Amino acid sequence: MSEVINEPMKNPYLPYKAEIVEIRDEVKGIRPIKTFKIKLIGRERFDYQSGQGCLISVFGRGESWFTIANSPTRPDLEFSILKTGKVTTKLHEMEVGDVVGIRGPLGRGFPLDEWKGMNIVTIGGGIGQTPLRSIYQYVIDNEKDYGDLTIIYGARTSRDLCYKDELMELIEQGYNVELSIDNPEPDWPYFVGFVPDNLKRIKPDPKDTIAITCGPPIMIKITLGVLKDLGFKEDQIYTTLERRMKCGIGKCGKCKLESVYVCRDGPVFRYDELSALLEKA
Amino acid sequence: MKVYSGNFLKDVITRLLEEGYRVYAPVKEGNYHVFRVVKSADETDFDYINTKKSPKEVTFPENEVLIKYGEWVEELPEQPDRLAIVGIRPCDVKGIRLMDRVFLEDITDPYYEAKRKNLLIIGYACNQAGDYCFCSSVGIKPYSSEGVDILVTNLNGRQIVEVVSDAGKELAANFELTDASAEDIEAKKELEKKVMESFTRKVDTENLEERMKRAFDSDYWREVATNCISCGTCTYLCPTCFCFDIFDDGELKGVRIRAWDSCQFPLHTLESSSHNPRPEKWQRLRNRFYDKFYYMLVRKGELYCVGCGRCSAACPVGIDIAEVIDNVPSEVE
Repeated sequence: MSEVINEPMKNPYLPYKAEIVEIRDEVKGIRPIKTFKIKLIGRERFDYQSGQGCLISVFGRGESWFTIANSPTRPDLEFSILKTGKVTTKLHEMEVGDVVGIRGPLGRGFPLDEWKGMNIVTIGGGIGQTPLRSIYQYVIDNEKDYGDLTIIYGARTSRDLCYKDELMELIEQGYNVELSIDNPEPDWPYFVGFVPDNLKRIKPDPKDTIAITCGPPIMIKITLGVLKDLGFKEDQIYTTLERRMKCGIGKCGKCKLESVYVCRDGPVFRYDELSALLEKA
Repeated sequence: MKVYSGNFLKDVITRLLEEGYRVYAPVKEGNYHVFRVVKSADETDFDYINTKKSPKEVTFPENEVLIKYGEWVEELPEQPDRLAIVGIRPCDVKGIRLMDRVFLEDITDPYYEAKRKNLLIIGYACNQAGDYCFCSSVGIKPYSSEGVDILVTNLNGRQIVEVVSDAGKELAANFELTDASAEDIEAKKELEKKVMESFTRKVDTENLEERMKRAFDSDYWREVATNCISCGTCTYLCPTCFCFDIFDDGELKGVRIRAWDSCQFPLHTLESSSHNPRPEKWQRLRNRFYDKFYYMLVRKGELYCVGCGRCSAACPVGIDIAEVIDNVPSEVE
């Protein structure tokens, strides 16, 4: 009797053992978001690209896909997780020192090498800021390789904004960060309105610029229209898709969109790749 | 081409069992046949056109333990090192070959591979097309020896044995086989012609990719789905439907299992945000037909339908895959 290979590198269903080393509250309330910093046990962190994901595993609950929330230029792995189902509820109950499983890095990330020399505009909404954070951290850490960086980010209320401290620090350092909330709040100094409206107001120049958007499906849809109105071509626009995922390696069929596997061929797509498909994302 | 004077299929099962193989073979249950693990050749019955269920479970079990866990991974399931399937029809062999492309290409699925690489395939040629069969329309010959180790044909009560692979040769060496006569060869050719003429269903695959492409947004799919109850019988029985779910069974100690899933179920794609990319049953039904006749064609260059007709035969509301594909509108407004 032969045994299935007992090594995560060879058996893609077998997670690496990892430990939670830090937990930060991003958003509190009924739809809380926490950022978990995770260290692999007994091995170095694997290399990855911004935009790639991992399946985080809690035995007894299952596995869920999360995009890696920090740049590969930073140490450790971070995941920002919205409490929404079985696995995420358990993760939100966990503490520093608890063990989780990690499978990854999975899928195709952003082509940050191809974007060298370009201006970068990230347009995020809510928890969709996660992959964009990995991009802007990467661009900041490799500043000389890129043109101007514009971070456009919004949430329903000021309490729903992720990475607030980090973004405030970036504003202080002089980075171009454009925040918004959907409805007025006292003492809110930034834009009030939806993310695409803020984008319309900011009007980034499409020349030598890459726009990357991630957020709720409706926000992405409207943002795409605004970008096109501003003169962006489909091959200048990137997004990352969310689908239900189980295997993470292009087998189980759950995340299939037309003929592509979001987990394997994506989750990052250039817009012209998506518009060529019969089934719409 | 060789001739065996006894019942080769049964005798080969006896031999394989002696050699310690885990053998899947057709067993009669009620009014139909299914592939089961058999302990003796006496349990088997080869008087069938095809089995009710496809034999995909041999390499891709309906439920399969991936990991046994406690606080952490405790054990990985052992894999059988000698597997055989006896009596599989050419359409289902093609089904296995299409599954190979899903599980072995790109990232290798080690659980599938462990079973597949140790699998001996003893095929059984068809002498007559079933009511719902249309394999000849999707490029399969019902007497094809492609992908088998040995192919057996029932020729007027005698068993013709074609040894195809090295593993087949090794196994066949245990049996007294005589060379087929010129008459036998001629008779087999006649039989093949007769089988091809026995198909009552034909599907027009001419220009299908283009037709499917154009018909995607057609109301046709809503019409086809009118009576569909999203039961998933079609995907369950299909030899090439490979979608699966993974879940943990047991809170503190248990097993991580993969189990067949179906794109016909809304839960298959429902996200925790409550967003569902295919909320309507007609979208899910369309997905199945497009996956078989367009998406996989784009991805792998092959149709993912082998024309076994199981889904049509078992559909509780009479949706017939051959008819559905044949009627895909070529002109769409």
